[in-house]
Amino acid sequence: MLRSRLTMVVFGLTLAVASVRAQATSVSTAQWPAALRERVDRIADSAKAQRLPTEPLYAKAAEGVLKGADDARIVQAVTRLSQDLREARAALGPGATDAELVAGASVVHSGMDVPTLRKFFSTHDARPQSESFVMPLVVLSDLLARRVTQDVATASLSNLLEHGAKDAELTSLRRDIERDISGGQSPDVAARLRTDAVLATLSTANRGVRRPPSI
Amino acid sequence: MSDRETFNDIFDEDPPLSPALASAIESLRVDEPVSAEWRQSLIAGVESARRTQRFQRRLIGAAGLAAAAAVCAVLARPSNRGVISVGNANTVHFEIEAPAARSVSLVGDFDGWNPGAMPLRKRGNGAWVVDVHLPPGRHAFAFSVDGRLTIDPTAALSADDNFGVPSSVVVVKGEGGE
Repeated sequence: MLRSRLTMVVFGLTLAVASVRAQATSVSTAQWPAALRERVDRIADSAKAQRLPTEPLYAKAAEGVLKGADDARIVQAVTRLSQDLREARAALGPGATDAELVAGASVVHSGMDVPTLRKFFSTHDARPQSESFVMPLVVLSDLLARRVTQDVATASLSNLLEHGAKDAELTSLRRDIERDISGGQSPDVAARLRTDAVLATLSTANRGVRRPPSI
Repeated sequence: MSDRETFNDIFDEDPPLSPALASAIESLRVDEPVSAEWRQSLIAGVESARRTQRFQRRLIGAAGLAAAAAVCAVLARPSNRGVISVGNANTVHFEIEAPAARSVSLVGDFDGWNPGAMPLRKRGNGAWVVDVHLPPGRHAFAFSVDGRLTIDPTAALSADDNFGVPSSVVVVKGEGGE
């Protein structure tokens, strides 16, 4: 008797937690104007047919609604994100996770073309299969947004990944470059100097690894 | 143009005449033998007074605009101080000081920008806090303070905002921490 009650309590708690989590992650479209909801649904249906994640599209629309943007601007932003996701899929391939696609879309949004992104993603092979490629993509898009040129940004990160850099080194690199740029350093120079510094650390840590090519 | 028409024009122009001036002009409507020279000097006086009136109005307008701009600048200035820290297992601690606020919630791409999804709890010192588990990646967010969107002044701003209203950004790496 006690056991069955306990089971029911645990089951109830699980349901409650699940519902809170669902409420926290799903987008509520009930308050949207019908025309907007219909147009976003249509874009999302098209994305779904291409095996693209739809949640970021609804989140983008919800952001626009909350920020008071007009419907046309919201649809434009959602359409653009859908295109960025599509290009990210073309560059990263069918095996990319949803999180990698979202991060890849951000890189595309920063102006990188599909072939260059595809080439950069190929350095994924240098990482253990269990490791996500989200962080290298996030750092890449951030560097591009900070006006580091594509060649320097991709060379820096590819070099670091080939030498076993982990997410921790990449996020530190991102933060340090951002700080240097804010301090007046040229974006490309900041990226080169910081990359060299991390490479020196990695080389010390992994003696015997071949010398990194200069970027 | 006759003197009569000139007088009517003076009444019709903007800004309107002050009562004293209007009364003086009105007195000229009376058909009394008034010399043309006297009429012209009165018209010149009225025009001069009107120029002064226009200048004063512009001055007041400019002062009003400057005051409005100053008020807007003060209102737009972030008055709440925020703190983000990323702990173990990708749990991100969000904190914002808003002692006068009645409700604060976290909105972002991780909760569908839903103001009701992640309320912050108030501490005794006026700070509002919430700990959220976030997956690795970059997350755009803002605080909704009494229904008004507020960026975190201590966090980086999103570079790819589409709506003209900035968002804050937190980056969560795989093994936790920024």
